[in-house]
Amino acid sequence: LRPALAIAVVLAALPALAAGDEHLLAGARHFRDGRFAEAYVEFSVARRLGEGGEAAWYAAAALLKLGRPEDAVAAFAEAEEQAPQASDALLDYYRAIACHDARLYLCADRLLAAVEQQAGPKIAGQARKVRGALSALLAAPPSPGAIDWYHSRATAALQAGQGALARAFFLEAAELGRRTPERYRVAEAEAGVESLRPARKARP
Amino acid sequence: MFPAQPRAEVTVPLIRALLLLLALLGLPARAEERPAVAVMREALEAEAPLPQAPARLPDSEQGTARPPAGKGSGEAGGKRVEEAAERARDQEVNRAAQGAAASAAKSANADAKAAAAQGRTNGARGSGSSHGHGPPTHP
Repeated sequence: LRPALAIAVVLAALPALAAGDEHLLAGARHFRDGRFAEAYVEFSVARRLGEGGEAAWYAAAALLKLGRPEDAVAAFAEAEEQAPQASDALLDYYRAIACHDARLYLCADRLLAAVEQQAGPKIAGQARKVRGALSALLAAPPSPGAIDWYHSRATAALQAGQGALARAFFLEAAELGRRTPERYRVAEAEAGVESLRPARKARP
Repeated sequence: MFPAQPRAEVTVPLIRALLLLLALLGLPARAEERPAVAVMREALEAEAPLPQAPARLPDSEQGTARPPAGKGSGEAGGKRVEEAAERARDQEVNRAAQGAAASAAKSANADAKAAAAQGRTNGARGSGSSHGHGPPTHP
């Protein structure tokens, strides 16, 4: 009886998987046509119906196009936890721009460096351009005030229940702190990062 | 004639055959690029954004405040723009969710999908209200 039950469960799940794919396709078409809010909803439905892989990444990309970079940063982090295999250079480019627009410039630069190597000519060119603009900013040591700002944003995100976003701000604060002679608030930032470490190991 | 429990020599080949069938049905769709993935890859490349504003490190005077909604707008103006953007976004997401729910209702497991769409609507709305800010600009 047990094998029959298992088979029945698998067969029952197939239509739901197919339905998830339908929503993924609908979302992709909305995205292509510039209807990002509709795309976001479709990707979210697809994700709930079991298309957890690409759908989570696409939903994050839609959030970026909706002008919500901080939400996108958090959504990309969740997508990476859930389905690291579904990412690619193109999605990493979107993630990098989300980081950039959320003022997580070191995060952006790190992702763009990999995108430059892996993406096609158009996206690699854009990545190079953005990195070029970032290079002057990142060459100078940051001021303590800037690092304080990242700590403040991390704390605010934490208070708002946005652990993934808080972690991203703490990571940035830690990296910036290491660039100062006195390693300004590095230990504090690292403690924040560690306390918000996701349950599953993220992609290196 | 038949034993009460299925015998291993019958059930194991049966399970293997069914797994093979499932693999044959499912693998080609996964191995080839699915239509959704193909459309999305094209769309992602075409829509690939550039940063919304030049990079500039913030300073502590800004505290936890996020950048204003519009370039050159005052604080009050930025807030009004943000509020208007949030209202518009909520309406937009609601409309899209209604469409998704209607589409889901057509298929066999309508109830489950409609609930999913509704759940997502709530999620999308919740996410929007928790931030409630338009595109960031740097001071």
